[in-house]
Amino acid sequence: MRRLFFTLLMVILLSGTAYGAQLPEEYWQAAGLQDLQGAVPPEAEGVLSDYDFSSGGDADTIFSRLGDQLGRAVRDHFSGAARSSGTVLTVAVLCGLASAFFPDGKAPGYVTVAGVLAIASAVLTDSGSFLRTGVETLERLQDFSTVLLPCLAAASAAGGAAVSASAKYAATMLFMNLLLRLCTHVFVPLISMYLACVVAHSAFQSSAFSAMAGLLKWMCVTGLTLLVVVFTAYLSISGVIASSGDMVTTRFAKAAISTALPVVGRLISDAASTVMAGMSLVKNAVGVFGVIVVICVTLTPFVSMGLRYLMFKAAAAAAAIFPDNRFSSLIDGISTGFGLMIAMTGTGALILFISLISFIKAVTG
Amino acid sequence: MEYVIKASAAAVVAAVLSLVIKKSNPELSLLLGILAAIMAVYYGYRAIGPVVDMVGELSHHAALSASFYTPVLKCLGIGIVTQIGAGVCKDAGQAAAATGVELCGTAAAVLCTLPLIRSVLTMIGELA
Repeated sequence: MRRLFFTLLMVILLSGTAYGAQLPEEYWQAAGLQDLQGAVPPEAEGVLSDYDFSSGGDADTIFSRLGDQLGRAVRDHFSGAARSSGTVLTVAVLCGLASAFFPDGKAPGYVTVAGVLAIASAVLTDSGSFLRTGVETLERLQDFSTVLLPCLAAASAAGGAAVSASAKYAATMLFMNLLLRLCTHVFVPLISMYLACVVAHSAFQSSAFSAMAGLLKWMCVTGLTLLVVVFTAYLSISGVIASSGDMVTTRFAKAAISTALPVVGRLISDAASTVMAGMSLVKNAVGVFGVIVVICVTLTPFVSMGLRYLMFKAAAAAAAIFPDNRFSSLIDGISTGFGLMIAMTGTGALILFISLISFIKAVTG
Repeated sequence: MEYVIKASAAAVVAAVLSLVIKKSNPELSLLLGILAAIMAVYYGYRAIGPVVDMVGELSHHAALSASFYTPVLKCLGIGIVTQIGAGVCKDAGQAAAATGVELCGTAAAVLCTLPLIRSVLTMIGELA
């Protein structure tokens, strides 16, 4: 009878929900999760509508939604990209036909110049809107990072990486600001000048414009690469130095508490370790959330610019069948301009990715 | 096909007649040459009609505004007229007049492309 009574008692006591695996709400509040959820850009709302921070979200559902968003973006932008490259190719075909009216298949220079200008004015409107889209995407990434990075830094600091978290936060914000300023004041004008040089080279067949376009492209690519390399190096070096400091500080603090308070100190030290481990979970969950948001924000601009890049490369290859290679080189140059725009936007996303992965991968003592 | 045959026939007849009367009446020979050129252009114009329609259809499918391809077509027309005009002047032994016609054709073509030049310069200015 007694055994049955104890069995029933244990069944009642142990049938409740096991809360041990879930973090208390205070942990999430401490990391500023409400602000983060409020700052999610509209592009990511669909993908992260029911994202559960405590369980880390269902990877299959998230990837499936990202795939859907990618499919939608491709469907929405494919016709525009195809029409744009079709426009360019039509003018090139027209000029190719025009050259057939003249002896030796060589049209007078002004017919080709008219064709080059027609292609340029048809495409430059698109280029302007894509440059603006690229800068706006970077601005949105920066706006979101001003909410995301403090959350991550707070969670990392509470997880025992106070010094490295603040170093990473400061470095990322500094480089994101720097990139945005450089894009607005340096890279966008450089890409515009590059496009102008490509048009001028095709219209006037001057090697000076070609050399200038090559230099401008090199400046853009090298500038963006240098920015990412310097950021990665700065983050790595400061991370190594700060992580060692964090590890030493944490271990000293635990040892001090354990030895200063003979019996209770050990318990407090263990409790502190548990809190730190909990905050590491918060940090990882917030970091993964941030990575998904960055993917969602950059997906549509990448798809629209990437499709145009590919379509124009294909149009350049098709235009190469005409004897006058000016149209082919013009279309190829314009597609390279789209490639530079992708690189500019991609650098912003890459800086945030590196920073987020650095936060997530940080190991504390 | 028939346009090519008509134009070729007219040109051959005009060329033969021109050769025959060249020594006795060089002015009439030149006029015959001009007439043959005009006839050839007329038949060429009749033949090119469907091609112009096709360009229109192509530009409609590519959503290409007429403001982009009209200057190209105008320049093409200017090029053809200039070439014929300059050729006639050269046949008459007037090289200076031929150069003048070519210069005039170039100026007219630049005038036609002026809206495109302005549009491209404005867009590049807006991009930067």
